[in-house]
Amino acid sequence: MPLPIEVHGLTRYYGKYRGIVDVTFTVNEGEVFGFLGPNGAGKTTTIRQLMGLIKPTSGTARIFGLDCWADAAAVKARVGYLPGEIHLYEKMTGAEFLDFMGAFRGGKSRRRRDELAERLDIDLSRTIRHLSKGNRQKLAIIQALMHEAPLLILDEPTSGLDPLKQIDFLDLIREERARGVTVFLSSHLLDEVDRIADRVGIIREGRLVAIEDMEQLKRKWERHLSLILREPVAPERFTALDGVVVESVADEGRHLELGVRGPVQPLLRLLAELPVEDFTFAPADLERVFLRFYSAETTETAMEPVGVER
Amino acid sequence: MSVVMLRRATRDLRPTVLWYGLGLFLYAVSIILLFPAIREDTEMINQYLESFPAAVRAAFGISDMGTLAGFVGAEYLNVVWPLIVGVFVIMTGAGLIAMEIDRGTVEFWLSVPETRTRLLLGKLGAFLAGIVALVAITLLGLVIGGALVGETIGPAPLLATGVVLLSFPVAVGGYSVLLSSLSADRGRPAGLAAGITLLCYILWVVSSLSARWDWLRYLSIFTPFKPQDALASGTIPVGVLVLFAIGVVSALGALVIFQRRDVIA
Repeated sequence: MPLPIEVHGLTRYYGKYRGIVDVTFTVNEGEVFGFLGPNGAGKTTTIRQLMGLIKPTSGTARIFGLDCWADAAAVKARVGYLPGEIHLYEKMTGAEFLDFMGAFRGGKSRRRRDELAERLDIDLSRTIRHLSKGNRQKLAIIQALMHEAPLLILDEPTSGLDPLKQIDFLDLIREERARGVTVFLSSHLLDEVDRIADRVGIIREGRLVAIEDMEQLKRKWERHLSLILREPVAPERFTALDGVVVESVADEGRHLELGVRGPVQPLLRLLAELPVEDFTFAPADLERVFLRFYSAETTETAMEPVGVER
Repeated sequence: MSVVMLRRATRDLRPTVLWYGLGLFLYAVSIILLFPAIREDTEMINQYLESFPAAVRAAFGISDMGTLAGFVGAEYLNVVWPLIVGVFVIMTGAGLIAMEIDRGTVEFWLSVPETRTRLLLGKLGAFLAGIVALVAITLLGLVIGGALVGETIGPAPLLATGVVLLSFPVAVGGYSVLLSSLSADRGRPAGLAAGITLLCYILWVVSSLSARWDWLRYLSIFTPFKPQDALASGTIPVGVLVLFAIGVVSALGALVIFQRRDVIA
């Protein structure tokens, strides 16, 4: 049985400019694969090649064994797609747009469409030009999910959604996964992928620098704790903990910036004993993950593309 | 051809075709209503027109104002009609592919399980239907206008006029779509198509000024476009085949290019 996605040596240049270089990965059936990278890293270029919108300079992209460029129409019959930039037909109403998109697949998706519209709380009778950015995003999400395709390709799917709707959306994706749907979603937000993905591919400057199980990645990434204390505390008390680094000390030891990797329980126990006045705990930042863990690997693997499994 | 695309594109084009059609119909009828006044003073008007420089007469296709065909040709079909319909086909044809890319809707458009060829054929079908509708509305205007002033247009001249009228927007629409298939925004192909059409018009006018420049007519799509002759005698110039061929070959070229190109702005 062919895999939902198989990408081998996929390379795309725009003239002399780099799009992606030698990207290789696979996505297994029924998994949620997060495709992580900062803006401009090559996520959308990869996705557009999967959708047959642009032709690879070299390499191959296959979906369920079909070539994404040569068999583009057959590929799309198996994919629900959400583009990264949502540009809809402004004069149509939401319902007209969804009917139009559904008609290409026999128009059998109305029941699912209505369910999703209710779930995401969007009025489909309104003209698209009058919809907010968030509602346009919801409409595009419904469009991707309503066909009940075996593979979802979602480019930055939560962009423009408010936090509550982001949670609803992630619930929807979990339900899709439970039904056996394979999901490939791109994001530049580590915590978003953390909440949903089974595996993650990290792309940077057009190259895939890592493919990790989410659990594996979590052990590596670093969160940031900014700590204000009523009395000075020796930094060594923090560095004695596994996975904690002191990044800076100010105000005679009353203000500390910490990097925290791995489990947080030992740190929380220590904080409970200390005269903490205030603190902020920032989620892991993708750039920090790159800087801390992958800069060396990138150099090493620059000559040697990352394999399918690591 | 994708029937879903054809239906959608037809629906999208309908209001534009309706407004253009209304304009063409009213123009035809109102011009023809002026004909009786001209008919009574044909001699004087023809003499008056003779005093115009040949370039002006050539530019407006003025020859014989004493007949309905001559009058309608000079006042409407030879220059004004291709101008109005030219704007419609250039704007619509140039936007057929490029506007989807320009507006960013192409990612949804091409996410459906249809080949690009079938999708574009759907749009081309709707475009051609729009052109045919405009020609039919024009002919209706001529028939009704003619009836109002006591002139009857026979079926043969009417059919011939229809074929000749159709050939022009097919050619212009064809190269507009071809240019659209090469572009990522509507402005450039529309400007280029308008430029080509204007150049053809200038070549046609210049070619009729002197025998020295006569050869230029072979370079112009306006040369075989003779609706006045078709209306007068029911003849269809063989040259209109060239116009249809330009349209068909251009559309085929657009299909091939669109199938192979990247579609991101």
